[in-house]
Amino acid sequence: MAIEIVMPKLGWTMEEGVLDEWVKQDGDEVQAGDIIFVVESDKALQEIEAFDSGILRILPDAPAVGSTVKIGELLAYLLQPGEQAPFERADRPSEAPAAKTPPASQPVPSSARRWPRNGSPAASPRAKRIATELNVDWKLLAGSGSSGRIIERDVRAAAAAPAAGEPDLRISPVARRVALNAGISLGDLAAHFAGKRVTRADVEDYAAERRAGPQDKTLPMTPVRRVTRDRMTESARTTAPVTLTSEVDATELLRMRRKLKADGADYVPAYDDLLATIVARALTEHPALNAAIAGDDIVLRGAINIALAVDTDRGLLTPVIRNADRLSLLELTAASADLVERARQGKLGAAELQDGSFTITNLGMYGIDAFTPIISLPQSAILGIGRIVARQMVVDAEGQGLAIRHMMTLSLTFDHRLVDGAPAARFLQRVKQYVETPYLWLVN
Amino acid sequence: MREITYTEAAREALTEQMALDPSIFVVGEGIGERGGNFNTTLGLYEKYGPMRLRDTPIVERGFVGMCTGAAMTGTRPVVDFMIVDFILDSMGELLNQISKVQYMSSGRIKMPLVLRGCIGIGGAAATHHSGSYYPIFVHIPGIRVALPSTPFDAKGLMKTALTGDDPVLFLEHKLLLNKRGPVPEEDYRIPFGQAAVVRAGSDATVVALTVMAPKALAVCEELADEGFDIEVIDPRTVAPLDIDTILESVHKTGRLLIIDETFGPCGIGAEISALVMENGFDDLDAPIARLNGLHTPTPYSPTLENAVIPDQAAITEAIRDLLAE
Repeated sequence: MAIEIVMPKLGWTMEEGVLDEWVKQDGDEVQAGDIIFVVESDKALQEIEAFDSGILRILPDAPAVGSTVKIGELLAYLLQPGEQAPFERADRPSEAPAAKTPPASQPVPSSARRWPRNGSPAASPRAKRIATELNVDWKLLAGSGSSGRIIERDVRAAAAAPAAGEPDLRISPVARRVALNAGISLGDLAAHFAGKRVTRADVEDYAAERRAGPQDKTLPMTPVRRVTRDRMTESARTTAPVTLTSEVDATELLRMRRKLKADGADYVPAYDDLLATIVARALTEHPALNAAIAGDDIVLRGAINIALAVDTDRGLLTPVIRNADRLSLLELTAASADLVERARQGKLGAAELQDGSFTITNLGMYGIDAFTPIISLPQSAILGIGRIVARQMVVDAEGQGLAIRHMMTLSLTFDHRLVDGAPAARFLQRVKQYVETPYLWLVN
Repeated sequence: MREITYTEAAREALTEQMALDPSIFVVGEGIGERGGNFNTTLGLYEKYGPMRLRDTPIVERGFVGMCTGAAMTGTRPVVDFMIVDFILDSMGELLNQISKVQYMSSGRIKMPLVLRGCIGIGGAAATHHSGSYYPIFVHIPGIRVALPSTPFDAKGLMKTALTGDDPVLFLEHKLLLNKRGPVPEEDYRIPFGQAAVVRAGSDATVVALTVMAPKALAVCEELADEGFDIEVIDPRTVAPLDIDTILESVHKTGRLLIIDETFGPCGIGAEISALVMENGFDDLDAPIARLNGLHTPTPYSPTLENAVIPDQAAITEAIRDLLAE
């Protein structure tokens, strides 16, 4: 609906004003809060702001700049994209009536008891409520109710078909107004917040950032982050961690995986799966590494439950493969594929994250060789897996033969309160043997 | 199901309850041997005798006052006013005693009094025999007001009136008295404060009271042929008023018209409008509309009489206007 721009009354005694200047020109896009024109009244020059957004159409016969105009006299219209100015409609009357859907309802108030409205269009309370629910700015709509009132069907129609020329932006009505007032174009917001629903706070942050340059941003911790913080702090505070690193030859594992792949196996074990299988078997021989402290007691855990560290959108999760020592490589691979997938989807139950007795963490895919993982309490050790990299190695005792081998670094952090260096080293050595000679555990 | 008239349905409720409850008796002008001007007590005199069907002289304040005392002592009087305009002569008893006795006695004294009579415009009954007045009583705490619009409701609401502890105005529109409709033979009660959705619809809500309910329903069935789907609600009692059913309907439709034959100012439509505005403002897609009889004493001339009540054409126009808002 065309919004009328008239000579405003700027004081109680003002009866006319001089149209001093058009700041916006005919056809310009105007946003709420923009200065449209300047009026000189008895007192001073006054800039006149737009209360609404739209396209400015100045009357062809509007008073000339510099002339004196009575208050209330029509100067221009604000139109919505695609809308015709009333003075254009008069020239081409045949086009006007077709657009409206409802049968000819009275365009004028049906009774004198209704006050005529100026400025913003009337909208029913229901239309406003539904506009909020559907995130439609009802102020930009044309009403099809009596007297041009915006009613439910107008809002629903607008929600179903986004206005032409509007950037693809989901934004709350309040945020839209804040953006317009701050002079931020919806196009900029659409580019900056691609796909995200933009709230008032987003717009204010964005506006502040544009004014002041990059700012610190404080984010609340997610629940997963808080748990991680507490557990890492507790571990760093109470354990006596020692990290042993050992370079192992993973060429056999690499070959095994390649051959399984070439054979078209349903499940090709990941390195994590291979290491989990190996560690579980090594732990049966080194129960001290599958233990926990309980006061003055050491608890040797009955089951070997391998926790796998998984990086997810929500943070670090450690789903647990139960009784890993009793699973075949194939069974373990299937179980871990399922757990990892559901961890990434956020569909793990709490029980599936509990009761780990030993953790494996892998940073090899990021090119990390050795690191010092932190023990996940109440466990007593954690094994970090590094990248596999091809190296030229000495392969015979005399130091004469060289070969290209695929090497991997293992980082074992253990809690020295429970385990001494030598037994931990023996465990790592056993893991190394199993990696380098898979037949040793495959026959079991 | 068998079909009986509105008056027969209300009378069936009365005679059944009189058989069950010997404390019920009827007082009024011509309700004894004559059986009531509108046959409200036809055949009851032969059944229950002159002690329980007491004809009175024309002295409303006197017999309403006596029935007030009788109700306070544990009986269950039914005052048959024939035409409810005459209740105005007993307003002092009604507003100052009947409505307040339970409150003033902290509930120790019950007031199981049924005040019944015909209301409404029709049949050139002239201005002293065409009143409805129920908005006045709805304004007063302590009185229940039932406005049955079908034979089924007449029996079910009369049963509830005759078994409760509160004073009940049971108002029968004179143009409904001979309307026939299905009425179960068994005992049933319609709780007060439970509106009937007599037609489900989604485009607009029409709340229609007493005689306007069947009229509005007929109009809405006609409009359905044009594709308009109007919900029609008959509140059935206006004290208490089932506003929840109306709010639920307005939540669905967004549009509300209240049709009431009696006067608009401070009427039931005004009350419903205010309640919907207070509790369902954000559901409204159009201003609430009211359609009332003209705010004027009822004329005697049939031509003029017809002109003051909302007829089919006026109802149709009001609904069309509401849909076009």
